[in-house]
Amino acid sequence: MGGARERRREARARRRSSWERLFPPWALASAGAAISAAYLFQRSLEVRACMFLVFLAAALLSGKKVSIAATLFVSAGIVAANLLAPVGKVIAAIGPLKITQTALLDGLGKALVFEGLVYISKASILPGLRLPGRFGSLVARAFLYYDRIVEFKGSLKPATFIADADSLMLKVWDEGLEVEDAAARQADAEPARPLALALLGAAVLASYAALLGPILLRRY
Amino acid sequence: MGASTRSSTRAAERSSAERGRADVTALLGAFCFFLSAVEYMIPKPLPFMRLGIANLPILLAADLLPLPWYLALALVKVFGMSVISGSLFSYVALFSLAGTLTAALAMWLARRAFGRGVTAVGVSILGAVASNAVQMGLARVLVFGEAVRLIAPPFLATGLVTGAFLGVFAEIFVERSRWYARARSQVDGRG
Amino acid sequence: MRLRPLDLAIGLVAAGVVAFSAIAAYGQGGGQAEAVIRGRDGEWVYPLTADRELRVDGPLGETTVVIRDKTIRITDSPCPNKTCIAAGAIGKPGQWVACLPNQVFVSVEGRGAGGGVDAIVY
Repeated sequence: MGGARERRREARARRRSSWERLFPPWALASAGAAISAAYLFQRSLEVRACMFLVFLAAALLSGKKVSIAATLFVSAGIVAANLLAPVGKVIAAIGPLKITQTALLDGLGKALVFEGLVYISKASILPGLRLPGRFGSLVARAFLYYDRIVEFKGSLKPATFIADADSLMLKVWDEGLEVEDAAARQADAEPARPLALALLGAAVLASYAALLGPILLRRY
Repeated sequence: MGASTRSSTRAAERSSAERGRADVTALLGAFCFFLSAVEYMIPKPLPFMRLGIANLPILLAADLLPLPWYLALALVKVFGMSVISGSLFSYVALFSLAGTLTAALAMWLARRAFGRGVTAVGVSILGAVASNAVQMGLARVLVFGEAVRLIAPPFLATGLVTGAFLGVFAEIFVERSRWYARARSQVDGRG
Repeated sequence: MRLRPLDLAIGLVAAGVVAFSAIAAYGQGGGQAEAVIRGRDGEWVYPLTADRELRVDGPLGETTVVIRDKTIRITDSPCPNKTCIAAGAIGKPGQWVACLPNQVFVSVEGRGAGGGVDAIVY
């Protein structure tokens, strides 16, 4: 029924605003980038699986939309594609196709990397993220134009599409952009909460410890 | 008028032209976002099929913007889409970066190499097919392995077909668009 | 809006690329021969395209099988006669080399070329 879905959406929106209030966009994005790199270099399938679950939980906590079905579908596709080129010990056979161990583990690893990165990205990229410098203000300007386009898009009709699109472009453009620097200024004004930064720092350290841990343990 | 006034006028013109180019780039980038959203809504048989509609503004810019701004537009498109969809650190963004940059460079080179001998149709086809080929190569290494050969033919074919249609649209648009004429004079610095 | 000859040329070249990729993917000529190793503990499959060194356990010990230069051969085995090593390298579907005392059977099978064996009795 509509009621349950509405409640879920509201709960998600609440989580999302808490998450956005807790973490400054630049710190969250930097932490996400560092953790993604550590995740990429991680060799162990078991550790990768654990990190994947952590990323999934983070994405859920951040209030972003999460589709387990899509993840399973894509992962199944990746594993299936990798199984099509058999490598390693045969563990089963489906018709003419031999299911091999190395190909299966490779496929699982690739699927974990693919979907894991999707989730850590979802958790760490906030819409308010802006790059510094000239490129950053260019992107910010593009976003402002985008808001305008969405505002005016109702006026597009298929029959007179080109003329409508042209008018739309002129209208969006003519209104000028006085607010261009406001967005950049607003992003700088956020004070960094120490708790948030500590959390992020701990997460980054944990992901790199997971990299070094197996190596150190093997020595001893 | 003294010499200092003349040079400051020139400087003012130059910075106004720069602002004009930034404006055109930003607007085209915004349309890349819009067309990406449109493409997302179009139902596709396979999730990895990408129509490349969002490259249309880049195709239009191949004749319009100088190279640094043209490349900036491609990066604005990739970065903006990655932030909107929250996929900046994932392979999805990497595919977008590789595909968009390949398309942009291929289209730029085609324009420079063939000049008026080719219309937007040829340029667009080259961009689309090159882009899809690079994405297939990336998929083979990162995701699918050898099996990528099986989906490469329909993917490349889609690039050819949508590239052709986009090229036709771009040609007609440039002929009729008042915005395009205004943007052109902005970029060239005539305000 | 007028098309130029170069547009058609580009279109044709692109169509050629698509056709080529289709033939490479779906055609019969795509000979993905694979090496199949059957031993006491199970069966292994490997492509001939990547060099590898493999050890297979049998009743007598370890047999070493090497894939190199798109061929596969037995390089070492704890059997008395070493005929398997002398048999040399194989690379085409249907060929096989075996170390019967150690129960190691190496063959090359093509996709769909039915090079498999029905049963192995020692």
